[in-house]
Amino acid sequence: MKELNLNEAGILSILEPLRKRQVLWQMICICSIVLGLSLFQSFGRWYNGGAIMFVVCMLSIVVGFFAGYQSVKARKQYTNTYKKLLAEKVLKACFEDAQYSPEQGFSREEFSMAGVFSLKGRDYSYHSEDLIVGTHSGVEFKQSDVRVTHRSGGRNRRTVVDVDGRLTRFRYDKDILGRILITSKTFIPASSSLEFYMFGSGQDVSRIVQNTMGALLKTISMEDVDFNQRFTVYATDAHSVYYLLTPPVMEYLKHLCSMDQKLSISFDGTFLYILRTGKGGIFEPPSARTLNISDEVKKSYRELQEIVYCIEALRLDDRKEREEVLKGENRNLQRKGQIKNKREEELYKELKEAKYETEASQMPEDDEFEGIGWSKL
Amino acid sequence: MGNVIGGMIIAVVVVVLLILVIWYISTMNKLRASALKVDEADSGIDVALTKRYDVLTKQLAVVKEYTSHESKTLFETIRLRSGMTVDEKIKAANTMNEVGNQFRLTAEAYPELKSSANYIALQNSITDVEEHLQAARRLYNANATDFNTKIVMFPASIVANMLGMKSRTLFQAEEYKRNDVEMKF
Repeated sequence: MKELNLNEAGILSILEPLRKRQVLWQMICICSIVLGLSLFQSFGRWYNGGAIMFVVCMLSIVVGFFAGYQSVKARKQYTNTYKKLLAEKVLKACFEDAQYSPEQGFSREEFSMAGVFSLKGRDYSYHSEDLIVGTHSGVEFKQSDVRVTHRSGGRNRRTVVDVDGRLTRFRYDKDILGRILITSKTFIPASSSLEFYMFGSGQDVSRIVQNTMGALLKTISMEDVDFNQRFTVYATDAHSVYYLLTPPVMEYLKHLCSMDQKLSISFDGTFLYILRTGKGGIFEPPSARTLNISDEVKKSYRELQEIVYCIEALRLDDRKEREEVLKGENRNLQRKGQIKNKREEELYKELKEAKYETEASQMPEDDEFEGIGWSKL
Repeated sequence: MGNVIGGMIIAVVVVVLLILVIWYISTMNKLRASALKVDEADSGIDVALTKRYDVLTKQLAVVKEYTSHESKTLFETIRLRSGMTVDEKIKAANTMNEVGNQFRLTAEAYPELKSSANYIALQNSITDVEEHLQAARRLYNANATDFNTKIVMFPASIVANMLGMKSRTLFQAEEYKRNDVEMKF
């Protein structure tokens, strides 16, 4: 990571008041609503002084809702300022060419095409933000926070959070057939992702339904028993799975899973998608406790380092690395040739100027050097 | 009364025989399916070996362009044909590795060869092909191990013996990889 020059005191003087304002509105909101509801509940007992109590009760609830609205607004302002002053700087220090768009993310179509979670079959609500686009060791990546919810049916309608985490996409060209899906067994909606493979996107449903499940989609077992206990692998071709899931890759995925992350990974031969749900969003500022700039920088750095660690652990950069090594060795060889040539030229000059002119006159001319095997580069 | 008892005994015997027949057919099918998976994985190794051979052929052509190095001799000993046993495939893979190492050593001595675009592209191809070969080996060994386990477990072993099924040879690592690497400083 490049050195980060932050005016900590300046940043703190801007962010801390925003944080306190947000907390204050939250407190007002909670207190007002609680007061209003308590008065409303005991309204019957105060019937004789009812009108005043009723007005106070209604006022409390209205103030509560207003304060709630202000709290949401303040939170948004605090978060946006935090991201602009702090998060973006940490990102640039980690990845020089990275672009950050707090309001943008993966589109719904892109998320569907990733194949890590199927948005079919229910009326899912999708939201994505905090888009980061960059490269590391020549590997292009794109990451954003994603949130998928739906309203459960029945009498007690409530919002169910299906996905609340991060989707990262890496460019990883590998020659495989079909698509591979790997889900951790803790990621409950694995079956809904199967719908993606059965019904696809834009494919002829009737034709696919006619195929047996075995023809379209197979569960593949790996040689690692521990891996099989934690993950389920779906693919049309077993060889492609073994090609992608080498022992180091399986170890890395087990490591991710052991950090209590629910994972869904999809690979289509060009892009590798990793969905980690249950982590929450990146660059979320704290509201309950006082801001500590150095802690926030470390936290953001740790979160961004997960991208680097993923690229290195999965060796997504191996092809570029090999090419760089080969080109680097070629440059070194050229440089050695030039140094050798320069030394010979200097020696030739020295000998020419020296007392021993007979030896100097016997030195080969420039064009004769090539015959000896030293060619000028 | 005797007839009824006799009838019941016959019915029980028939039901038991039926269950045995169904069990036999089901076990036979499972074992055959497992054997088919091993054969499928085996053909995957053939494909990977053929690709490796093709890349080696191209490498030989590139090496000949830049050097007068005669590395054909060992290369010509590689023989790929259909129906090779696992041991023959292991031998072919080992020979191809040796030839590949020879080309690498040759390239070290010839800088223009090493820096040529063709050579770099072939090095990338070799790595891809090696990875495919590794995947094919691992898949074959996983399926073969699964099959070998099934045919020795009772009571499936009875059916396996009746069908004459034998355990499959695993694709072992090359000898040079098994030896300890000598560190020279």
